Amino acid sequence: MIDSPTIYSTYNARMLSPEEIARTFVINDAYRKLLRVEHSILRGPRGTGKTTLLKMLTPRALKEWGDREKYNVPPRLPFVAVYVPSDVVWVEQLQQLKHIPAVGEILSKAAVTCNVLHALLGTFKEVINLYFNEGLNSEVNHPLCTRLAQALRLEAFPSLDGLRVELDLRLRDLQSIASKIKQHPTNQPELPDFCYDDYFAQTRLLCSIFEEVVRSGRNELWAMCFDELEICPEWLLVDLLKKLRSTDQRFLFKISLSPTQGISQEKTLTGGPSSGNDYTDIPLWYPTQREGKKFCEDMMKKFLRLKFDADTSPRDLFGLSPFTEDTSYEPGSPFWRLLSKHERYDPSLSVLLRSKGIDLSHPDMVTTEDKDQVLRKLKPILVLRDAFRNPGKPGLRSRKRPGLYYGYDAIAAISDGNPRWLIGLLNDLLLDVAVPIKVPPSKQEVILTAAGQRFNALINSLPQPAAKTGNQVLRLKDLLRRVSRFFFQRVVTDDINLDPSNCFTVDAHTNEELLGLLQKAVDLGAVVLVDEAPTGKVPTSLRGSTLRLSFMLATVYRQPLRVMGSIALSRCLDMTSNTSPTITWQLPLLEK
Amino acid sequence: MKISRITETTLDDVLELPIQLAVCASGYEERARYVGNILGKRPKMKHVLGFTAHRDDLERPRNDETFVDLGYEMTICNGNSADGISSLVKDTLVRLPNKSNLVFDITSMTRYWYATFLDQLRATEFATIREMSIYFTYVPSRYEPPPKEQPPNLYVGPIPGFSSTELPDLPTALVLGLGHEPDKALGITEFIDAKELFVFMANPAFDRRFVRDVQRMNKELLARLPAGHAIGYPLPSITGTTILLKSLSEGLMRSHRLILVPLGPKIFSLICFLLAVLYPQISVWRVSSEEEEFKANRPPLNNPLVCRVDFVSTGNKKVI
Repeated sequence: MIDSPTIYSTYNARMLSPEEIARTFVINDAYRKLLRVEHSILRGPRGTGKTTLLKMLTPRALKEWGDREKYNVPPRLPFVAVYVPSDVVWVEQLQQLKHIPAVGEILSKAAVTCNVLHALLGTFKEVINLYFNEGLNSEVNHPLCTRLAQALRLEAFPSLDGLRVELDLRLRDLQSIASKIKQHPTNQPELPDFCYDDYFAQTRLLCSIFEEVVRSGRNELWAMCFDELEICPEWLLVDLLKKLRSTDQRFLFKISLSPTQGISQEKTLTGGPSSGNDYTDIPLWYPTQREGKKFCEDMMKKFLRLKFDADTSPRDLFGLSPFTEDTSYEPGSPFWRLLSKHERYDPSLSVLLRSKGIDLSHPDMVTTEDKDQVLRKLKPILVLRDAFRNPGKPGLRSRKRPGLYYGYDAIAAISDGNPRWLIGLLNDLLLDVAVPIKVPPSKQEVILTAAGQRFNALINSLPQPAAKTGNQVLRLKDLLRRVSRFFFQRVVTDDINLDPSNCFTVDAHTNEELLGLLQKAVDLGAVVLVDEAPTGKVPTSLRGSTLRLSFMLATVYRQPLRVMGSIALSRCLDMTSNTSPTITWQLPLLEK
Repeated sequence: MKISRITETTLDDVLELPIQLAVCASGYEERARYVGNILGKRPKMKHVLGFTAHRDDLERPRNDETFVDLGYEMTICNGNSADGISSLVKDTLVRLPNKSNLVFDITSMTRYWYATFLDQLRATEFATIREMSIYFTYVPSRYEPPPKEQPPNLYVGPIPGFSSTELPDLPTALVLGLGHEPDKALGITEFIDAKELFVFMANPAFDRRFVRDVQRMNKELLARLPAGHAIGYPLPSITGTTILLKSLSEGLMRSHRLILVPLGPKIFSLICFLLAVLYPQISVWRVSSEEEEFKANRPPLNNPLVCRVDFVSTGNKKVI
């Protein structure tokens, strides 16, 4: 997958076969939870590995996974996973069918049924290939295909592949029916019977046939893995959520959603499912930087091993970022020099140090406690101030390359624990690197900045709701810009403060429109949920949650790569809507 | 009906022909009335679609006045509604004799309008028409620098009628026509996240500065493309562009769900729609700021492009 020829050299598991995914899979807690015999909802923004995890349940991926035994994962799981693909293109196509007068919903459901059954037949084929080295003999294959064809209302076909092709053709028929009805709504043709088949009833029937013919009547446990449900038609999401509460015991449902999707539907369902009782919620974001960093380090090591065919330390290759905590706070160290420099020019720093009893002219008096509680906190603040302030002069330095964003810890932070982003960044950073030699910080910063700009371009190009605050209309890019401007001012331009904020809490003043905009931001990964609890909990509402800007946008909005304090969102927006007291202290955005 | 031939011609040649129907659009640009003025009172039937929005902006009042003076029948409609086109097909086209010549000026039309027109033509059989030739005209504008600010996109998705339904187990291929809006193409590319990406950019165009702007505004995207994935198309040559796009599309759609997203000049969008009519498995998407787009009067260049598309009856049961 590292050699994937895609345009962004990014890693999108959707485009890869289970074998390719298995080759570079890095196990995590989410996967272990997913292996349990229970319904599960994987939650995470784009690129957090939902597709990878679901595909890694399939028999083909398990067979190819070299590290499987190392992690005590059995070759055959207690269930047979059926991966049902989806993507934005498919869902937009379904939307078009849905708009057909009178029968839109029926056509859209028929298309979903085709997709589910197509995936199921593919899984039958995988299972047969795995369990029967020479495939099925004709005494089993013939009755299997004949009975499946009958159940699908198709002519008998001698192979599973033939049946799958027929399902493909059904979609063409649906398109043609839709086109005719759209042009001549009064002349509605009679819909074929298959349009009225329910996807789950058909799934159960086909599975029963398979069990009876191939497994001599032995029941299997089937795990229906529905990917990208956040963009699927509403009826499918509601139907699947109901099934989490009660369904045929032979079936498990493992579905993937964005962080906030489905919450409102769950609430409105009478007797709907609940997390912990009917299913397990598996969040795929890292509430603390420490957890995310560990996963990223493991992933980087695996990437480098595959790339260079030898163990390579990410730290040796990319170095440490200026924001790192892994630094010396001793007199004479680079940090000490930075501190001394700013103390000379920044009266607010002198006042702060004095108030903490720290006298830089007497370094021997600076205690370990001072270093832990004061200097460590000051580090990211001073690093950012140093990059953008002109010592002793008013105004900010306009710096295209501030020399801040590089180092293996910065790469991990900027990826925000998102495997697709991390692999995309590593691919770019090592595109023309054949042997493991140190990548210059300036080159790293260029690449990390470009990645931030690409993500920003994505945010700006998506249709998104608008929210009114006061008499201003905010879209997502406006919201991000205003919040980041507020934080930049707090960290860089205001008098120094040991606990500035770069997170915000969704307070009671946040109206529903703004909440909708924030949900979009969270689902997109532009804004990240911050939680003190190390396990990471899925909130039932964003109201009251603490959020921060994704570090992927730090290079664009000039933010520190460290989680700091939080402040009410309404305060951020109120303050940033006012003109800054010193007009020269404007955030030097790198936006285009 | 179905397409039997696509060729390139000139407005001078069209003026030699009897024209049964002319269809134009009245927007806020001066070039909206260019073709109408050249055709004069020649067409037997004349129809103009006027936008519901921006009725007092820039050149719109003068355009409306010109069309009224020339005897055009005006329908006011929303740029994202099929109503105006539907009534045109159902009420006006049915009155045409066989072997009619139509002039259909897309210069000021939304992509949605001329896509709908093509979609309705392919799904319709007329009682009297076995053959007809449609002359799609497009008047390029004089060079204008790209807008500094981009209005928000309010719609990104397939154009109704141009959305193929294929299972998501097939990888996607995206062919993007580049415009000069900063990073718009980059965002769409990230959004669709296709396995294969090719971009088409006008080169040569009518002005070298446009070519330079397109390259500058899409610098990041172009820098990341594999060799051979950025294809220059000759904007002044409809035939040349059609051949290039058709050849690439035919290769890609064998193993991919193919999506065309024309962001650049409208004539490129027309070619995308024509190909999607020929190959229903091609989807065409649009990215639109709806009516929030920044208004500017782009004056016309004096060399309109004309694409002749011949339609013939499929022989199926006549419905109109």
